[in-house]
Amino acid sequence: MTLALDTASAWSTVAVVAGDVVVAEAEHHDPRGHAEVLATLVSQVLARAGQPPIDVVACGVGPGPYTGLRIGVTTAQVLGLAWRVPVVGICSLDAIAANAVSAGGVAGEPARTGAFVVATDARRGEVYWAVYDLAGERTSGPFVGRQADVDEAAGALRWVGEQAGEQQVRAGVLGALANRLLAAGEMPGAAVRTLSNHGTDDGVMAGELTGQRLLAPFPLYVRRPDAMPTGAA
Amino acid sequence: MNEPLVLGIETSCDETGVGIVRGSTLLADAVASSVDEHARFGGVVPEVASRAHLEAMLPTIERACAEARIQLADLDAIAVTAGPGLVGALLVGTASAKALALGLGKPVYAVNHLAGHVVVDELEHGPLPPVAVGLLVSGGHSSLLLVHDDAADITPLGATLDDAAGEAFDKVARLLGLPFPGGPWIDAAARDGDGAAIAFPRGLTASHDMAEHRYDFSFSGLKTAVARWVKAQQAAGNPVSVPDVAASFQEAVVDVLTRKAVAACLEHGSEHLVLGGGVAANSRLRAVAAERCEVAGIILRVPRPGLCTDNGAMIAALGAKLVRQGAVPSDLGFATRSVLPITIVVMNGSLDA
Ligand SMILES: [Zn+2]
Repeated sequence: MTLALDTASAWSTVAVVAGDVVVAEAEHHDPRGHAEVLATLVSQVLARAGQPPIDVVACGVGPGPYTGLRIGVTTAQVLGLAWRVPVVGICSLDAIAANAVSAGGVAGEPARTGAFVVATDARRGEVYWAVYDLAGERTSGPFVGRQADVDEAAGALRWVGEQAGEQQVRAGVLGALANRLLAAGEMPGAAVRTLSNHGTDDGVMAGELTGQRLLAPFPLYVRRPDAMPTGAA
Repeated sequence: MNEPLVLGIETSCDETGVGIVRGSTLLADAVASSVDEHARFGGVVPEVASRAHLEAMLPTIERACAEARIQLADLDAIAVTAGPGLVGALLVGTASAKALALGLGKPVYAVNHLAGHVVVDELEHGPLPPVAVGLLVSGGHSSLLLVHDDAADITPLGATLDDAAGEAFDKVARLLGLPFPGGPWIDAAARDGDGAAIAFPRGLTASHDMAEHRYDFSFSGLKTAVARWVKAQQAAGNPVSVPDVAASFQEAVVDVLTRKAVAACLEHGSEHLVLGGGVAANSRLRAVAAERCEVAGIILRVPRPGLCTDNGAMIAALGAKLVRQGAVPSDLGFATRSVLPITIVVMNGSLDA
């Protein structure tokens, strides 16, 4: 039984998932509300699922606005510690892609190139984005960049939803995706953790995540902190 | 009933602190600091601090449990700093505390950081009799508090109107070419200097200021005065004695802090003055406070330096006191507040309106 949660978007979303089956799910929309609602949502979802013993915690690791993202990742890490169960990370854009595929929103359309782009708002006129095949497998990314860069790189690829609009991650889909990868015997790549370390991730390195689907439970910041060392400014 | 076993989490600035107490006995005080990562920026960078908190949280919790020789499941309650502090940094701590409380099925107390700075002294020096005065000085805060009960009833007497005392130390250190954080470096340089060499201004001590801001502080004018003095000397081609400037600056800060703190004790009939915050580690502040308290017949209480700076033990100590007093735990939905008045020691249903 997996507890899944994500706070990389304007939603706080939590689900209990058994295999592919979403046992209980709850969400709350508030871009600044993750800190206040997340623990309560977890508590409610566990209660609705009948307080099952949890074997794995799966969390969305972004990319997404940092402050909210950290709430979900921290919560997942500490729940794993308290319950003594493993915690795995899933790229939040992968969960959006999986949702689009399972909802038929991608496969149902005439495919022009056999691929599509998921992009979410990265603020400051930029987007977080990654490219997927029609099965929802990430073929490159995640990246951060300007809308124009994405347009150029993506060419005629189909976009999921509004470009850089608010994309909802669904914890149920995220949990099912994690369960599928775990069942297939995938292990979180250890190298991925160094990409999440503060200050070492400049967005280019995040592209090396291509092909890695089960991740360590640390945020994909994809940008360095803004601060300038004294003397460099 | 056994004394409550409480774990406290502190992430209001750049220290990830996890402390464990049983009642008023300190069992563990694990701290991971990101100060070295901020040094190259010349000050605490909130985003860097938040990232460091997240990375340090699990290892620090595990280290504290190992140090205290307890299992998480043994805990009776969790306490966490809900404010004041850097909001992004606070959020890592509060999310951790909520998850721990939820995961373990234990109550959580969302508490005021400043109250923790006062309560921590009880771990070393026993119960604090009412009424006491607290002088809390660090890079993030500078406050004078009137303490009737450090877990329930604290009244603010005054605070800084601009820079925190520790901030002034950092800025003056930078001006003198000393590293960040500036406190220890100024303290060290001042030992070879003359505190009376330069008459730097004492903020908010003139009689008209005392009428309006009796217990408030202001360090921004002092910092400007030091900068102006150094510039003038350099322009005149005179050598600048770093020890003398450091000592004279430090003397000005310490003079105002101790003078107002002792005056507050006398005015409010307090026989105890508690120092807390990183600046309480300053040797000159300790010495002058001891002298002036002695003269005024006040008992000076200063926790050891490791408990003066931000740490989880102070939050755990406050949590344990709240458990013993039967305080109402916080709801899992409690908010994190970068500004949290000291009149709110614990955020629960009734007080958090
Ligand atoms: Zn402090």
